[in-house]
Amino acid sequence: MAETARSGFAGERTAPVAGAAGSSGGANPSGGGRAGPERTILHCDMNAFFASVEQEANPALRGRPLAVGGGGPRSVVCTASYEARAWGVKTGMTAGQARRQCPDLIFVPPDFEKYTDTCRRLVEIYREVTPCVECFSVDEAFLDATALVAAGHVPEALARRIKERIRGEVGLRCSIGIAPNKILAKLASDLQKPDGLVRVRPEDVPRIVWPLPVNALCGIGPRLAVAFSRMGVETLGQLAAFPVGLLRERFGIYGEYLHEWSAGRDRAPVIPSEEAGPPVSIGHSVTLERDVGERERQVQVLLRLSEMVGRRARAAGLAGRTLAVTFRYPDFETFSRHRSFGDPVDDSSLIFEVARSVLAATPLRAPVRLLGIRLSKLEPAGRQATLFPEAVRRRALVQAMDRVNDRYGEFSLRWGAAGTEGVWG
Amino acid sequence: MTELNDVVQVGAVFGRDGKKLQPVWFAWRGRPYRLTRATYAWSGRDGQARVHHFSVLDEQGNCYELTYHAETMVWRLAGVQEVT
Repeated sequence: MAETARSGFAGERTAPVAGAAGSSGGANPSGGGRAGPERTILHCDMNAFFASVEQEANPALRGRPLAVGGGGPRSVVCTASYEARAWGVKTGMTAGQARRQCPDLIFVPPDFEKYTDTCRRLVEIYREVTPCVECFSVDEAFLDATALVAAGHVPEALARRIKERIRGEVGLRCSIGIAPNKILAKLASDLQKPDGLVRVRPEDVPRIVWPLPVNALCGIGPRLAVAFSRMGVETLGQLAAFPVGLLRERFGIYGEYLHEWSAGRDRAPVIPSEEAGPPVSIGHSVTLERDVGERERQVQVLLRLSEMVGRRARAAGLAGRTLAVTFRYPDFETFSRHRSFGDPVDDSSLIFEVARSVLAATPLRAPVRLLGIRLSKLEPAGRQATLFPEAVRRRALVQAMDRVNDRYGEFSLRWGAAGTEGVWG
Repeated sequence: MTELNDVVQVGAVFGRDGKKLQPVWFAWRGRPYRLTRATYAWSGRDGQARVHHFSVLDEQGNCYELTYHAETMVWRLAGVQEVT
């Protein structure tokens, strides 16, 4: 149905877009049946983000099959350009697999500073439209445009404006989904890539969403998809029709959420990034350049990981009560061992001491391919003051080291003399 | 791209075409390079200092990455990608 728009972009009318259909009757998706104005949520998803940034920066890479990743034997593909995807190259493939798919594949090492700064510029563009911007990842964001639409703006016009600004400012393309909630908006943006613009209304859910496979839903990965398949649930429509009591029995409260989401209902608000709460945990892991069996080398890696985790915790003003050390063997078997601290900890050397003791107490059946450390049960640091002189001196030393590293760069000053050359991936 | 970290001389314009800073030429190993355009720009950090990065093209279409360290005010050639 055409609507006269008061868009502020020269009076655009609502244009028919994929998914904007008449009522299909019978369905009750959208806002969970709660009365109130329907929200308008946009999900912006940058297309092949890392690869696109590299192709924009270096014209020689445009139109060529490109994978952002290390290229070495242990490396995996972070992102593949659309030209590489046409050859079957996918995110997560090892470099060897990717090269077998596409012999002419060009590997470009990732430059996370470049992508992070680009993300910052994208967020500035989003905030020209609305202050309610939630960064879901470095290349995805949700925008709450409800107030703008209530004031007469046309969602599709807002989305086109965003796409034009992004194209003009950074030369990149994105897909935007428009829907009454975050789950549907994210599904919508996935429906047309690259450079898509799809609106899904509540009445479109049975026709557009329910035929999709279950793993099209954010929150259902390969393992959960297999579990659903064993239950005879292959599509989102089948999931929406599945008895919620049985889902709750099998998957707990998460089963209820999945049921709601598959029906196109989602009450989650768009939370501006600056209002988001503290992280649940802080961790770092590394895939090593070679499988490491030597205990001394493993200790060196844990030392470096401990420094990284401690730095981030202190920078966030947080300390943690539980430490997990993760091990992965060459056959990809992965497991973690946990230890709890009596008092919350943010000191890298204390984190390291516990990580080292975990390592010492963990018999390993093989050299490790990956090591990781994660600090959790976080709370604001400094709640428990100490009077012990040694602890006070240690605190002052850690703060001084942090000031040096802030000023001159990471690891300008660090604990321990040994490096991680030859094993750090 | 071939990675480098060579200090270079750079001529740059501030405030042209709405851009805060744009390299126009640079000199490397005694040879001048005239730049036709910048394809991308981004910022990173070296400790507390900002480092500005520029992907630029010369008249032959070769691509270079120049960096400008805001604290030391030194330009470096960080990488070269020759047209093949």
